[in-house]
Amino acid sequence: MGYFKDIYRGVSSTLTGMTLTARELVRPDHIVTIQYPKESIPVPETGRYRLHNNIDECIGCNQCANACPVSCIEIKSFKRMDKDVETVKETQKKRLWVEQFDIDMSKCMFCGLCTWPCPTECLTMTSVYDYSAYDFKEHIFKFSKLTPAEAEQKKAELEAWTAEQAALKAAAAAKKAAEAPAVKPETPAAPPAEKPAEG
Amino acid sequence: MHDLVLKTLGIGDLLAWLGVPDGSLVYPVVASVFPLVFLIIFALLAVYAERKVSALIQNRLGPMETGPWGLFQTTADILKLIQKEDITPKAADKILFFVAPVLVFTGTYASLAAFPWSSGFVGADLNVGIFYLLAISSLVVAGLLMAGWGSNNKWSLYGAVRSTAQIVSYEIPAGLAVLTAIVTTGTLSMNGIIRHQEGMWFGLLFQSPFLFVAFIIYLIASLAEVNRTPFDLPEAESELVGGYHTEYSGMKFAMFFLAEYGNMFIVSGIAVAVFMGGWLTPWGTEPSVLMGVVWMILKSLFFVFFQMWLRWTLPRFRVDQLMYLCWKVLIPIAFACLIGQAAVEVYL
Repeated sequence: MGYFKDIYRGVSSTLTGMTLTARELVRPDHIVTIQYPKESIPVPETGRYRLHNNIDECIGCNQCANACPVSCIEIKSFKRMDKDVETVKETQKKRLWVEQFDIDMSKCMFCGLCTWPCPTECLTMTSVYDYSAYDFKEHIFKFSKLTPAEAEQKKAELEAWTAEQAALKAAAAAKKAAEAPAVKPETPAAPPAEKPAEG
Repeated sequence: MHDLVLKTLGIGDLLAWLGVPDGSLVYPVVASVFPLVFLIIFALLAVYAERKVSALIQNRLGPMETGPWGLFQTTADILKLIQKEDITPKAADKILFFVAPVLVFTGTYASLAAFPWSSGFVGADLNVGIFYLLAISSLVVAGLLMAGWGSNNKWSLYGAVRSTAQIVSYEIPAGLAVLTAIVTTGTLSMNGIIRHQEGMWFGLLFQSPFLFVAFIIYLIASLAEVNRTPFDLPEAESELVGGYHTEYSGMKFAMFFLAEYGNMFIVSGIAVAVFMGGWLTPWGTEPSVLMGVVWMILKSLFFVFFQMWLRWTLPRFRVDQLMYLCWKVLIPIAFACLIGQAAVEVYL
């Protein structure tokens, strides 16, 4: 009879269900919760999270900013004096002072395209992912080590140095100009000398 | 009653030591406040237990942050509820909206008056004790209907209508199941019923198959009476937002909550008293008054746990399934049990 069969099925399926839940109740090893701030899943080695720039090796080439699809990297740089040019990673030369290297992580889409063109491999994606903040501004990470005052000083020095170099150049040019008459006829003279040879 | 309460729990000595004169009003006040304090502490722990049981069944951890293993989570929750603004909707019926939680809680609290804590510790050992308990806990229905109607919200009204239909229907199998036991005990007094079970292992439960089935029926019907899953249609979150307490907040919501968990304990207590020997030890001897309280609470807590266990096992019934189960399954079987047990009593 369907009626009693239904009752039997109701009772037996309830009992089956209750056995199952009771079994899970006493299995603490089945718990899947990870209590996040206290414990967390390890980040994979290739994980792409917060960007980090090792400014000591950065040459300020702007290639990362050019590569960024969302323009979250902002770099401002100016020339170094010749005496300040440093070599990093044996082959790369630091010819620029990087006065601003800001990465806005609230814009970042974690594609990692910026890390590929970096010639010194100083821009990397780290495994830091929990850096939420109350203000977007706190997501702008500044990597430049130059203080504005230092930058101003360096710029002034550069200007002075450039002026000095220009003066030197001018002096050299003037000197050349002074010596010119002796040399000048020689150079224009050469082509006519050649032309007849060809012709 | 309060003499005994005060003696057993040492409150009397304490009050006398504090210099409260004999026959002072303080004694009955203390004696009547005890169930309230118990209810509040029980609700706090039961909500915590509910969350832990549900979490463990679902392979989670549950509250872990507030206190060791999250023990103070519910305390924090209650403190938050008390601080919350008490909102009355503009379109609500002000009087009904206010009275409903009070009435619901009154039903719960009044049930404790005849609750058999122990041999010498029962608020009022009425000769119609079990009848009083079943009747007074029906007061809840009126409260729920008031809440649903007074809120002036369709979800609340749906919840209230469903809960009324459900509770009124399931009182019949519950009453018949209890009646099956009463046929055997021959008394309606709570302590009378329990004393009848002296010398029986686990009380009346295993005395006859009819009583066993009646016990199962009571268990199912009591679940429906306290709106627990699988009979939680009145407050079905996924269908009705929150059912009759959708519009409630703050202290009034806390009262509904307290009443809900209090009712869980009371229906478990009735099941234990009627079928499982109440405050008697499981092997049927009479314990000391204080140990009686411990046994009564332990046995009741087991069934509270059973309710939680079932809640996290079964999905919710459909309305028609609910009515089918009550009128076509539980009531006929309960009648069969009643008649069978009566026959056993008469012919054996």
